[in-house]
Amino acid sequence: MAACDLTIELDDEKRVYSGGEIIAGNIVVQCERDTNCKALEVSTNWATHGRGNIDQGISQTATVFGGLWQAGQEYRYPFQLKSAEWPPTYYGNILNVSHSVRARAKISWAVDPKVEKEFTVATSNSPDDGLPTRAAEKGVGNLIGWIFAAIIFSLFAFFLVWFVPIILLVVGMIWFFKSYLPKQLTGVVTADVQPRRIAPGLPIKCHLDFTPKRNVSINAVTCAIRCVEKCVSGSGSNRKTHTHELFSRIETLADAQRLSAHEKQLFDFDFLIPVSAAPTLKLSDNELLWSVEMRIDIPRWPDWTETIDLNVEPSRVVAGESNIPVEHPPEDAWLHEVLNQLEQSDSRERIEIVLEAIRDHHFSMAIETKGAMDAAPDRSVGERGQWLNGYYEARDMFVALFMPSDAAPVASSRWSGTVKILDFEHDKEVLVVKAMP
Amino acid sequence: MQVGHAKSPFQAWNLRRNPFGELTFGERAELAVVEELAHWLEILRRPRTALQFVGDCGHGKTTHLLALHRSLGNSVYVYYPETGPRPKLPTVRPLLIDEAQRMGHWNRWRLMRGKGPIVVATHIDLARQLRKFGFETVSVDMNAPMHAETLSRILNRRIEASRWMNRDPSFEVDILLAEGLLAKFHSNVRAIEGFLYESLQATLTGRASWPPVI
Repeated sequence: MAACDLTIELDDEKRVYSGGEIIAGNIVVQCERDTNCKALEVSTNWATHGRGNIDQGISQTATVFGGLWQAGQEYRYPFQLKSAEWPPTYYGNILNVSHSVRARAKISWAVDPKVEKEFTVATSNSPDDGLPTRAAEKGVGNLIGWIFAAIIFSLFAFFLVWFVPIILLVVGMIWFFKSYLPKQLTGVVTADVQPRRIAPGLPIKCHLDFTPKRNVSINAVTCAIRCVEKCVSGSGSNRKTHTHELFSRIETLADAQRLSAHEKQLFDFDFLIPVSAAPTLKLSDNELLWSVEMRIDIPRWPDWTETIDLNVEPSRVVAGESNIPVEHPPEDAWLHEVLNQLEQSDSRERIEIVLEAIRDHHFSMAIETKGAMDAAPDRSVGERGQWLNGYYEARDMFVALFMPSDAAPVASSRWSGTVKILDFEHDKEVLVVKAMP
Repeated sequence: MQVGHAKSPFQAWNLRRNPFGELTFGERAELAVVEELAHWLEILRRPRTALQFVGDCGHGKTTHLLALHRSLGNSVYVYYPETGPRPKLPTVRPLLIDEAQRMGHWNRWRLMRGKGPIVVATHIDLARQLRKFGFETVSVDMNAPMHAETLSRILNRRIEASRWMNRDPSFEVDILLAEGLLAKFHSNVRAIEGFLYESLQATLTGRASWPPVI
């Protein structure tokens, strides 16, 4: 039995902390007998749990006490420690990330009492070593790896020389089937996804074009967006990789058809990253990966495929302010994310992308109204109605609200209902919406 | 549509995590159920003794080694990786060697020429060689059938260690479930944990009920 009981009390147990924010609380100690504590250590930690080997880190450690505890007394030791900035709290299927405060009393000749208390961390930004930078680092790593491989190869060249034809044959066959053969029919294929670093609730633009070298039949052109948890457990011969698909959407850009030679084929597809999307995580043995796979499915011929990785950032809605609860209703969270994106759009083109992505979606809004607008927005709604001055308090945003003539009249200064977002006038920062029946 | 979330699905079951997931080496040692620990510790007091755990992957060899390492105090645990640089064999005893079947002949010879006591976890039986070098050898067959009570204890200890609040866990692995698991997976504890991990996840997300159908 442990010499003492430790308890952790956080000042605000239900709070969602921002990455890097200070966690404050008390360590409560109760002893049944006099105990000499060498050190009472408190730390903030994060750790993965699930099917993969455990990745973990300590954010900050402090020793809050060392000395004698008397039997029957209760001692309280306040602490203030910084939480880890990355990764955020995440609960998935085979991968989870938890943050906790741990306390441990080091006691001579006895089992060290310890205690752990979890808290939730949300963060609004991926670290700088997200996908683009990481790729650059990987490039350096690759270079060192290649130099190392070249040295090893030169040392054992005599022995390896017998394997060179086999290696070349295997590599050549992969290239032949995966790249050369498909391109004999499709010609050069250009595939792109922009942006590759994206926040949840925002659209990505997928682009694919190619000009077939000859007449060719295809089964389909598809674009698959996937989110996968990937965890590695064990090591060496016990090493096992576990995967779990969290999200998958396959969009058919073209159905089965015959394409004519030298006729350019062009496909554009917008996809809205779900507002509740988990962020890309790249920990040592635990990863959460988003990708876009484009495929030209050619009957009785190797398919052309290309996979592009995405770096999905943590939701700004969840983590923008530390006191915003994580459990936002998804629709509300989505509206906020869309408004964030519209406000941050620095070009008309960008606004159009967002508007296109939400074209078929309606949002619930509560708007304060103040009479008819003197000058209607420069936008045709295509039906009779009235433009009202509006104010959306939740975002401190002015709204131009179009009320169709067949809609119920606005009875009070506060209107609640379903709207469709028509536009965002960036220069005046006015959201243009239409009330829906 | 929910693609991962920040609210723990485990707390409703009074859990911090899925108890059947991976653990750190320290946690594995702490939670190990080693029924004959006292007996083995007694054996390892003798100078030229060897204790070997022989069995396939997932049958608890490493867990037993880690539990012994924790109890022996001043012992050294050495893991032999499949690839990469080979670890140097320390002179400290007791010496515990994991994946001993990966040791080259030279290192095995050095180990057996040295002093005891030693503990090895291996996929192949090294008893004949150990005896040849004068070690009093005790061999434990990790593939041997396990009692349902033992399995139940192993799994319930993991559930207990994953408890969130200071009250009883919301569920346990009873003898009936343990018997069913042993009938399907034999004594492959890793396979059992993998099955229970998925079953509990399915229960937490409302896709199945507990106890799982085997």
